[in-house]
Amino acid sequence: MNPSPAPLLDDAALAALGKTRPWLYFLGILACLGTAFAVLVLLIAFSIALHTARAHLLAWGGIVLLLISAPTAFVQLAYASALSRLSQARGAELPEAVELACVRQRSVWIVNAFTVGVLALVSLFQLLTTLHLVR
Amino acid sequence: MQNEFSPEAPSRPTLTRRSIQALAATQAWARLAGIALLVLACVELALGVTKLFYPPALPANLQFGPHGMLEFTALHSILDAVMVIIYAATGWYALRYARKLEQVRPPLHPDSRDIVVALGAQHRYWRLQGVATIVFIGLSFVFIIAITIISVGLAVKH
Repeated sequence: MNPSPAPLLDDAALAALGKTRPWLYFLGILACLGTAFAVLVLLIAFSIALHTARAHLLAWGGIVLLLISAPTAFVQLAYASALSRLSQARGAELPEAVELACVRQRSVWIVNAFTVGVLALVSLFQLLTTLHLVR
Repeated sequence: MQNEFSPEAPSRPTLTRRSIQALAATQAWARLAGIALLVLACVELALGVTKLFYPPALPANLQFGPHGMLEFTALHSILDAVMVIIYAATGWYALRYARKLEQVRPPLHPDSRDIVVALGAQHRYWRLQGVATIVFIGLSFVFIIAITIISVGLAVKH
């Protein structure tokens, strides 16, 4: 029995990856800005003594934002750079560049699932708190 | 005419075993992200409906009065509705990407077409995510400007 041949990554597949790149750069840069904003929020929260309820809320908001935006920025920009490398790769470099892009897209989706899960939990907590206050 | 076998044909990369394994391993994460996004949409919808019937207490410097409060609630509801649509749409696209990756998983032997379809679904997901982010940022600006206008209008009236 012959093993099935490895699938070709044809022009259409390379084009699909190429079109994804600008969106990932855009989202990655926004996540970087989000990280900077989260750090600023945390600095403000810690500079105005943490014993007030508002500072506590600010600090928690900053921590959640940092947990979401820092890993997102890292993996999205890493995937976008792998896609840039793929677009420039020629000949023998191509399979290695494709492999790197595939591995990094998996990291992007792991972090994406984690951040969306954190957001869902925070929203669920907010809903429960609201329902508790309403009752 | 060039074809795969002609000497002039450009070299096309093949997906290595590791690449296929990485793509296949993404499926579970894409499915998890899709389900979490749909849960987020449902929670956001429930939160929006709750806020509609029990509007949250506003800070002392943002007292709009009955008319202004109605405008504030309407703006808030629009923002909530847009967020529900964004979460539901991105969740659906993530689940669609996960479904397309099913064709790539071993022991199935994916061909070029399966890879193109899966990568195309991924591209559509990130494009929607990007557009949704632009819409969200735009709406947030509109929301802030509208609240400022309502507050200034009320201050001038008094």
